[in-house]
Amino acid sequence: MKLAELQAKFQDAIIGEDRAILEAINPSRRLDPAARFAVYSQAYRLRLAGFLSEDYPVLRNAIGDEEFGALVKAYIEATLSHHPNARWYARRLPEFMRATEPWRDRKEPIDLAAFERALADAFDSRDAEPREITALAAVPAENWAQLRFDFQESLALLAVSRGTVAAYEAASEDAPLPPRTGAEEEMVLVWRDPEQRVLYRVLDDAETLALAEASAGKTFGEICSLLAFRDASDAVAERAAGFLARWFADGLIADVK
Amino acid sequence: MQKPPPLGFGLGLRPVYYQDILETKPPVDWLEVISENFMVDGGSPIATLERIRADYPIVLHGVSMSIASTAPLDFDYLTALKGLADRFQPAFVSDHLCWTGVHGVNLHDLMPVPYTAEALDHVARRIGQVQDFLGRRIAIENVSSYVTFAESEMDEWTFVKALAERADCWLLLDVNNIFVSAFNHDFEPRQFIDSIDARRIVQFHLAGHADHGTHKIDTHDEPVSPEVWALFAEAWRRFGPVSVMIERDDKFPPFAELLAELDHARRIAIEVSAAKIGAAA
Repeated sequence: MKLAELQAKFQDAIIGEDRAILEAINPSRRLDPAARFAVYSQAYRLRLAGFLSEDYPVLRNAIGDEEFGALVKAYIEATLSHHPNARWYARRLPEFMRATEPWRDRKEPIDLAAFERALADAFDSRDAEPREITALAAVPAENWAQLRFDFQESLALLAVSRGTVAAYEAASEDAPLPPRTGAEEEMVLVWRDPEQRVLYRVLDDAETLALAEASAGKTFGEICSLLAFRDASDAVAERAAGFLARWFADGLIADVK
Repeated sequence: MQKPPPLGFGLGLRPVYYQDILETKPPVDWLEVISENFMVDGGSPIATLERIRADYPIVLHGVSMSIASTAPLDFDYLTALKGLADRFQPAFVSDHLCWTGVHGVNLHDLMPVPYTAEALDHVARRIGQVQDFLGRRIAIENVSSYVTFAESEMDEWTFVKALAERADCWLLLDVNNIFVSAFNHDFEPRQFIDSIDARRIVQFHLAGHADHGTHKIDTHDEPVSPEVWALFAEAWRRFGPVSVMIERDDKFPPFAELLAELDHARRIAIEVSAAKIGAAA
């Protein structure tokens, strides 16, 4: 048997039911070919399950070992790895849950998985030196309306069912999950700060609007106009400036143009 | 053929020990880094490795080169590896004598190779391509295996010895893997050690394994076994001094226990070297 054929048969047997490879395997003094081969097929599933457990420990706490085990088994049978870095294998778990019975209608665990993945993504996203708020000092006040901002690549804005962050925090501590308060959503900002800490906070509607528009490339003036349209308040510019100051303080802003 | 100088006695750099290493700067001569763990865009892993590299020599040890696969070499992977090597200047770069998948799939495990002339040609050619691309000799590690193939035409040690010659690469001798495979396939581990060309060996791996009665599995979740320590003494007698490291990847003990295990390796090496000197005097 040529090397390519042997490897194809070996792999087919690991990921599926085809056992044609057993004819090419010698027995040992103590084990037949099937028992010897089983070391590899079992290790494959255990290893992938380990990746999922490492990436979603809080989801596991929240839904319990039994349901998490069923989810992991279903994901492994449906999902091959195509990347040399194991870090990427478990990334599509939230999408898998959204598309697969019995998880597809369970928004709360899906959102918890999505939040946990966003935290993992922020952990090792690309670095960029954050700008200090002093970067604004060089800009004449009359030009502020034209300012645009680049944000850290780690920044993620996540719409999840209300209570997801509280559930994450409770499940992280193995505490009982707090009761959910309805079908509304909360907007969570996830990012990594200059000290390499992954942070998050729940945003109110106005800051969500301002940050979404700013990260989409809108100018400071356009953001103020949108906030004014939404709130019809006199203090819009001050409020927008407050958001901006906080984004600088959080290390979110990578460049000012 | 100038071997890289021995680095001394090292440990595997694992996230669970980052804090111990950064805060206490323990007496470890060098650290082995899993290359793939740092093939990320940025953030804490890279920043941590930058800090640790300032204090310790490192070796980049990969698990996904898939050098024995019949799938095309993954040049995206090799480019990332070259970038890491350029940035962190490891003493050397190593990976395993295995394949990790074909047809675009990664099985994330070290799959066994049939010891045939065809496989020998194939793997030697690919090591040559990788070495040309990286611009450096790499070290190839013998793996633990749990099957043997009817197709095999030679012993593992014959294959490994010939491969190092043909590919002109270094060898990373995993002493625990020799012991595990020797049990699983009923060969004498000394035979493996006695067959390998000492000029090719640049590193030893030591690790623990699990004993299932009918077979042993390379689990890296236990201390090094007495039998593997005995085999290490044999290996040191034949090949030493070369860089030594202990792998631990599960059931992580307090860092001090790994340091004590590393001291045990040092003591064995000193005793064996002293006996050699005594015998020669």
